[in-house]
Amino acid sequence: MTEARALPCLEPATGRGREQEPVGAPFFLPGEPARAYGRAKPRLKLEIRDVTKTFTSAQGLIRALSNINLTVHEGEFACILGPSGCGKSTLLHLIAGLELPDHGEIRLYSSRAKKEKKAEKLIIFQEAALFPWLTVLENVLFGLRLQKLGAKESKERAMHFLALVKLEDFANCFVHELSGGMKQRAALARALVLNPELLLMDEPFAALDFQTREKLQQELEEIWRRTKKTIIFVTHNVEEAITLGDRVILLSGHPGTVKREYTLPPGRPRQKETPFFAELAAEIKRDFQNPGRELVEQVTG
Amino acid sequence: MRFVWRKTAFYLFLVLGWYLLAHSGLWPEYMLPAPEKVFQNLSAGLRSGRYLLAIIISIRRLLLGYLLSLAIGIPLGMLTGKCRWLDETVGSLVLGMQTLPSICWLPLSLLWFGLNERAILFVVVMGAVLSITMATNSGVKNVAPLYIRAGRNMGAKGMVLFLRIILPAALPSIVNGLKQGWSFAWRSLMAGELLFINLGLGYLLMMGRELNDMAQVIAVMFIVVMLGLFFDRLLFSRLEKAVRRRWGFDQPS
Repeated sequence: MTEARALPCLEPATGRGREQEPVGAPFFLPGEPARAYGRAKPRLKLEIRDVTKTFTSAQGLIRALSNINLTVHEGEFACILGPSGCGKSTLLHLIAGLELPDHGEIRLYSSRAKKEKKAEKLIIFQEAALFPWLTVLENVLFGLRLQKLGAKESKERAMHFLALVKLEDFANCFVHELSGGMKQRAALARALVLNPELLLMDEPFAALDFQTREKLQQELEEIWRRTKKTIIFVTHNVEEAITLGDRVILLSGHPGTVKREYTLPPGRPRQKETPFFAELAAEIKRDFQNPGRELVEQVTG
Repeated sequence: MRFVWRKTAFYLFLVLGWYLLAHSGLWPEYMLPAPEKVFQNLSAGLRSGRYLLAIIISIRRLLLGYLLSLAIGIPLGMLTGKCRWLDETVGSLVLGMQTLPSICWLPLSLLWFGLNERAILFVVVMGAVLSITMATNSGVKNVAPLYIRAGRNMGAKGMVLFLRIILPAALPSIVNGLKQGWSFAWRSLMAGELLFINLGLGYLLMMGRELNDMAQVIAVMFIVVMLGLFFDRLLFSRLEKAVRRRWGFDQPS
């Protein structure tokens, strides 16, 4: 019963290129009715097709990403999981438009008018990237000021989002007066206040201690539920990916390719203590460490 | 509190030692005047307005030269910091010229401008402008790429990116350059005034030497030190501290 539940419903490895269709066959918690996840077709938000990225370094060309194919739907919480240096951050920078791919296409299906294209894909970095010369409130106001919004309305919006991340009492603090977790919450407010189409998070909780990380994960899930944002969350932590993601996309490194995708059941919050969670984590970790099934198959075949 | 007490004791001890040495008769007065003689000279000079005039003249030259240096140095540093080919050309020239002590510009300056204010201004500017340029340059160049990425991500680009992210991020380094530039300007001015007699504090120093009036020499040296301390402690150190604190470099512990 247990084996039959968890393992066969994990979909086969994908991402070896175009020929394989990444089918997201979901698997469900026992006892829970198979809800219509994916049936009421959510709108496509982001489409990444055949994206390749190469960097020039002292040692020559380094291929960071190879043939990435990926789609994300509206309102989805997608976790990109992979070992350090597998190109996860590069992929996020490409999506954010901070860098351009060598090859391939990244398309955002935006619901915005042409002239409001500014700041529709916002990224939250591991080190928060708040500006130390501004107060917390001024940091949140930064993007709004660029959009030439009225001072009063800007401030109201900024305070609203500071309250959402529970930082309203720290609006006039300087950045260095905040703890690591508070910095990330401020960064989240700074992004959310601009109402982005896509929220990109680059290992935002990796530098935090265990308790803070768990707390922020819960808060992020709550904020995601309330704001209905589409989130792409990059992490190297398997448990974090399973806790937060609707879907986990496993990348393998050197060069980064999509190794496998796991579609998770919709039940939230995810309970870490369930056998389902543990089995899925073990499965992903096995895939994580496996130096590539393709390679093994080639050698033995 | 104990720190202040120790400091006071040290200086009292120093003056006492000086007093005893001066009154030991080992050296003639034109070599080592007694502290009270220096004090008399200082108060007489200040009361007669002679020293005050020299102070005003020197400070005016300094301020003029310094402001000119800022007006040239900060934009030049920004340009060389942002533009690669300018950095490789003008930037390297600035770096090379910085090894030249600014007083070496005096002969050139005298031939170009003649024996007048402009000649000394030129030396002051040459002393300060290079270090201000260099500090601004490195400040702009060393802005954490993360800030630029975050700013661009939120829609800042071009002049907005420069004014609202690069400039404030570079400010601690620029302030450092302002402080260094000031002290270089001060040194260049004193050197210039010593060599090229035309009022000012350096001129008073030289007059003291020529009249064998060691009390005046030491009194004027004392004024120079006090003025230097005044600007450094009361202006630049405070500015630097405020910026460093706000930027979070010095965590108040």
